[in-house]
Parts: sequence; structure tokens; C-alpha cells
Amino acid sequence: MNCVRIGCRTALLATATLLCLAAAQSGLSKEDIVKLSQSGISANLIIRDIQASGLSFDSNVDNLIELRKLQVSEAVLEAIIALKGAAPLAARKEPTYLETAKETYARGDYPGLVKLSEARLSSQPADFNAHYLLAVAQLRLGHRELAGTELDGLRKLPDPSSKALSASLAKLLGRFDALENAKVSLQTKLSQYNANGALQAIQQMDAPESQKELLRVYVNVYSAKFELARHQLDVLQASQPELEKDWIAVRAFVDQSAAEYRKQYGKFKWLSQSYEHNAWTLNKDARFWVPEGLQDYRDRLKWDIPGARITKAENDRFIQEGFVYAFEAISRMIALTPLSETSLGWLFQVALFTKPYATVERLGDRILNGQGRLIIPMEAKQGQFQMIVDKRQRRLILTQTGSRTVISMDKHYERAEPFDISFDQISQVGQSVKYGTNVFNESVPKDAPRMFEMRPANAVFTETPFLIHFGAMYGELAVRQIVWNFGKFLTHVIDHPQLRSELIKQNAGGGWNFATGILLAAAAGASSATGNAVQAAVIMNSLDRFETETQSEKLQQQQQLQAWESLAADTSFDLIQKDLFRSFDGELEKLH
Amino acid sequence: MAMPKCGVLLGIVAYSLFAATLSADETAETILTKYIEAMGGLERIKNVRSARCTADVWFNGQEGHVTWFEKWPGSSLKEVQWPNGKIRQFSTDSPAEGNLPEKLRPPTEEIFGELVAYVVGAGSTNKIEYLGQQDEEGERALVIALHKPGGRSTVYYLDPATFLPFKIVFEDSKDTNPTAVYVGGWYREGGFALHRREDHYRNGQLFESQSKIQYVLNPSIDDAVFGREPAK
Repeated sequence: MNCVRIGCRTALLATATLLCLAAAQSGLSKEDIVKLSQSGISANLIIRDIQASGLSFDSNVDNLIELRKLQVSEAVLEAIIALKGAAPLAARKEPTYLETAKETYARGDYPGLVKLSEARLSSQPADFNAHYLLAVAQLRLGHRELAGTELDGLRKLPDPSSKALSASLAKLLGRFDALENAKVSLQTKLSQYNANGALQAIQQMDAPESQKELLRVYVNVYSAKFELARHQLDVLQASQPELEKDWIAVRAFVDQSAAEYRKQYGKFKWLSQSYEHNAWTLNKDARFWVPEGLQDYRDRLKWDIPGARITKAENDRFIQEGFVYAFEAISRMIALTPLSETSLGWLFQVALFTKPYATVERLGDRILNGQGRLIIPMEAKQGQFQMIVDKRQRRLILTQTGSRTVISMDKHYERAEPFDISFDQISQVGQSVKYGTNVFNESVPKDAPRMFEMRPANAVFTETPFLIHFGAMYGELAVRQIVWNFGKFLTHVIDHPQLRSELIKQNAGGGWNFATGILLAAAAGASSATGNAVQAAVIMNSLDRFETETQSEKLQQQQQLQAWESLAADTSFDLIQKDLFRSFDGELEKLH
Repeated sequence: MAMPKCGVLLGIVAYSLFAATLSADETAETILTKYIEAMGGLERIKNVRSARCTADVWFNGQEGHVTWFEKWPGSSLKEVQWPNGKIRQFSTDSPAEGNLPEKLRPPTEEIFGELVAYVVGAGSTNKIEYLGQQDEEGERALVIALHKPGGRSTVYYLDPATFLPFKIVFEDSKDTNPTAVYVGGWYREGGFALHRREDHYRNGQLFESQSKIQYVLNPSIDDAVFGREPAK
């Protein structure tokens, strides 16, 4: 029997210990107190247990009566009453912070977790869990330096647990830093229009291959290679179908970009055809088509109504309006596909028409340094051409890309012949622009301009698209400035000691100020009228950046926030960071 | 959101259908054999005697619809419908209709491409060359070139997993502007690998896009469709 009695006591003590452990988690329950009282444990021991562990129930009148009926001693009841109010708080001290913190993190309330952890640390500065969670919350909010401060605090704590946590945190911060550096490197390459450099930066990243492939998808969309981007997504889906939900949004981005690009390019192409060919007025079956948003503009032109005449003022307004529509379309194309050689070629064209030489040179150099070559469209008697300025190969290459559909327009242009010459074959360059008067008795280009002549190869760049119309609208000064800017830039690119340059004289005061003033006012007017202010502003911002980047840090920062390269990197890196934190979140579960 | 998800699932299914293996000692011939197998196999391809193909087409901004009629051995007809315009026809058998008949390709080439036409055609003077596995625009690719007389070449960039092309470049030594075509949306039907989309570039400029490409193989096509005089 002794043995039995000893065994009973041992069992009772064990039960009491278990109850104490349970109470340590959440305080003693009514059932615990009843069990302890009925097991014969003394009131003093139970009272000490209550004071140490607290209570998990409210010590209201009903509960006290119930406990008394179940033979809980008055001394114990007095201890319960004495603990009233303080008991639940005492029961939830440290575990409650951790539980609340974990729950707050899981909810994604990182500012909330910062507040909670800071409050905890103000009363418990040595709480390593609080340092750790505060650091993670700060990192989630992008406050890298504050996260580092918490890591330093954690490292100073003597507790062995803090060593393990600081090692885990240091690893997370290390990977975060590597990704941030990679992001900056990628953004730099993108802002330099360097698609190949961007692909190399992606290749060197310490990130999962699937996330790197997603970044390549963005680069290809920015290069207007939509089908290649779709192919990459197909390959990704085959290899990692579990990440499907991440890719649905990216696939939609590819499809939407492709559709919008086609729409804007169609609008731009139609406008350039209407200027250069009047094609749709004569060839009504295949080309009698008006892009969305331009029907009213086309109808007001009256060009297909026999005998209809428009006044000089109407003509000017149509040309001005057409430029604004065309530049808006270009601005959208640049925003969608800023790494596309064609988009950059048109951006250069807009700069040539609207910006002073310093901007033209900076933009042209940036494109050439990033892409290696610059494609410049050209109009000639036979049709459309493209000149490739290949800086890497040091060559100028002219090829025909389209034929003139309205032969009567050919008299406005100089004949051109394709060429492929190295920079070193050019020993002399020149230009020519002659003016006369037109039916409105105003000064317009008389003979077709020769914007760049290269000797002894006798290679000629005739003129960029729109120059005739721009000249008719804004006058000789504007045209002379544009032609001079063009010649000056090519001379700067060809740059070799033997080169002799005979460019036309640009008049003092420059035509571009006049032209730009009108154009920007027109653009602003059209933007506010159509509600496309943001779209129209993109191109002007792109160009303005080249003028203001050394002048105003604040302005640059604002522009940087809106810049396409940040959007691309942020969107993609959101996914990469999501992946980083997803792999790290398991570490939080280990906290105790 | 339903449409993209559907597309994703189809993509996964389609991609898994084309999975193939690549060994270390591939040659032009072994790659070509795997490519032909991926396309549907030589015997199956040889049994196609007619085809009708439709697609939505975007050309320099205009959106239209195009239909091809093909009848072996050498009849091709292309019909293009632009907005507000009449249908324009170009036929190998009735060259008076349009100015493009010389650009119409023979049926095998039009439907299955030049590499298949090279394998099917007897006595061709063209030559193939395997340029190895390369990194093409960030993507791994098996590169195989078909060299033709006059300094012209067609370079195929095949996906190493499926042996199907994702990019084809048409080069000409006399022309510094090669045309690049990106191909996608591969699916399998009746044992053939067929594609839904093409994007065409010249000098980096997207100038033509075809989508919703649909093939009907071995339909019944009357000779009169090509504008040919009826047999007496």
C-alpha cells in the first residue's frame, strides 16, 4: 500500500507540475484550481501557484460561487480576488508578444509590427525576439538601415539564442542587399537603353532561375519582342507550374503591351502616311482605314473631297494637330517599348525637332552607348529608308524599307542610293537647304534638302520624315536648326582627325526655341483636351531628363519615381522579394 | 482573368506534349530528324496534299484577315481582306490578279516551312549546317542554318526541349536587314505540330503580326479557286 500511496503522491505532484506548466502558457483555469483543491494539495501551494501563473478566467461573482461550491478553500478564493484584474495580464506577458507579433506579421501589417516591437523593446530592451522581428518588419517596409541597426542590437545581446537569430538575420540582409544591388545594376542598364547589359545583369543575379526568366520577359517586352516573351512564359510554365499565379499577371502585361503597341504604331504609321503620301486618299480599297481616335481629324482634312480647299490657317492647324497626335503616339510607344531600336529612333527624331543640340547629343550618345546603334528613318524620292548608325562597327548603312505609293509626292524629295560605308571612308561632310515661297507666299524648303552628304563616297542622307511639313509650319530658322543639329551630331559620332566638316550656318537665336514653344503649347493643349496629359508628358519627361538631370536632384528623383525602368524593376523585384521572404518566413515559425 | 488562366493551362499541356531529349553528339542530320519528328513525322507530312489556313493579320497598323489555299504540288492562293476594302487575291496560277505571285511560296514551304521543304524536296542544292547550342536573346536554342544559293540563308532557333522553332531569321548577303520571325502558340492536332502566332520584324521593327492562325489539312479544294482554267 505504501508503494501505492507513494505512487499516488508522485502522480499528484506530476499532475500539479503539469498544471503549472499549462498555467505558464495561459494561467490557471477554474478546472485546474478545482482539481488541485480536490487532490488534497494545500491552500498555500495553490495560492503560490495562482500568484505565479495568473488566471485564465474572470474572477467574477458567479465564478467565485461556483468554485466555493466545488470545495475550493476561502484562502484560495481570497487569493483569486486579490489577483482580480492583474491575473490575465500576468498570464500573457512574453508569449503574448510573440504570438501577437507573429499574427501581425502573417497579416502583413508591418507598420503594426514595428510599433508592437518598439513598445516591447522600450520595456524589455534585451528581448532578442523583438529585435529580430523589428528588423524583419523594417526590411519588409524597405527600411534597410533600420533593419541593420536592429541586427547590431541583436548581436550585442549575451543570450545564446540571439547569436542564432543574428546569424539568420544577417543571411537575410545579405541576400536582400545582393538583390538591391542587382536591382540598381539592372535599372542602370535599362536607363542606358542597354538591353544586352540588362540581360547580363539578370544572368548574374543570385535569384531563382524562374524569377530571372521573368525579368527577361520584361526586357523582351520593352524591346517590343512580344512573341519571344510569350515563348519564355511557356517555357516557365512547363518547368514550374506551381508559380502559375505569378505568371498570369505577367502574361496579361505582355498581351496588353503588344495590343497597345500595335494600336499606337498603327496610329503613328497612318499619320506619317497621310503626311508623306496622302495614300488613303488615292488608294481607297486597301488603305481606306482610319485608326481609332483619328476619324474626326481625318474628316476635317477634307482631302478626299473633290474641289474642297482649306485655308492657310486650317492647314497650319491640321499640321500642328497632326504633330501632336504623332508625338503622343510616339510617347506611348516609348513608354511601352523603351528598349526597342525603332522606338528609340523615333525618340531621337522628336528630340531633333524639339530640343537644343546639347540634348540631341546626350540622347544620341546614350542610345549609341546602350544599344550600339541608332536607326534613323529617312524619306527619299523612291520611298522610305533607314540609316543605321553602327557605333560598334563604325559604319553608316542606308537601306530602303518602303516604296512611295503616291508618285506625285516624289518631286518633294531627293533621290537616294543605299550605302554601307565605314566612318573612316568619310573625309568630308556637308549639307544643303534652299528656300523659296509657296502658294501661301511663305518661305518653305524650295529644293529637297540634303541633310548629310558624305564624300568621297558620295553618300547622301536626304531628310528625316516630317521635315517638309515642319518647315512649312515653323519656318526656315527651325529647319536650319534641325538640319544643323543632325549634321553636328553625325559629325560628332564619326569623329576622326581627318574629317572636314562644312555644315550649314544655323542662325543666331536658333529656330528651335520658336518651334519648340509652339509645339509644346500645342501638345499641352491637345493633352488637356484629350485627357492624355500623362501619356503626352512621358515623351517630354524622357527628353527633359537629359536637360535637367544635372540641375535638379529633386526633379530627377520625381522623374525617377515615374520612370519606366523603375516600374519594370520594381514590378519584377516585387516577385523576387516575395520569393525571398517566402523562403525566409519558415524561420519565423521557429521563434519561441 | 479566365482567359489567361485557360491559356496558361493549355500552354502547360501543349508544352509537355512536345518534350524530347537532346544528346551530347548532335549533328545537323540528327537535329533535323528530331525537328521533323516534332513537326509530325515525314510520312504524315508527305500525306498532306492540300491545306487551308486562316489568320488575323496586323500589318503596319492595319488589321485584316488573310486566307491561304494550298494544293500540292505547286498551287498557292493568298486572299487578304483589309478594313473597308475588297478582298485582294494573289495566286500562283493566275498572276494577272496581283503583283505578288513571285513571293508566294510552294505549299510545303508555306505550311511547314523551309526546313521541312528541304527534307521533303528531292535534289535540292541547299545545304544544312548545325551551329550548336547557343544563347539567343537570353534563351537556349539549337541553331540550324539552311544555306541557299545566292548567299541566302534561313536560320532556325529551336527550343531544346521541344525541337520546335521559336525564332527564324531570313538572311541575305546582299541585304543588311534580315527579317526575323518569332513563332509561338504551338499545339498538336492530328499528329502535327502547328502554331497560332507569328511576329515579323525587319531591322528591329515589328511590321507584321499573325494571330489566331488556324490550319485545315487535306480539305477539298477546287482547282478553280486558284483562278486556273477548268480542265477541258
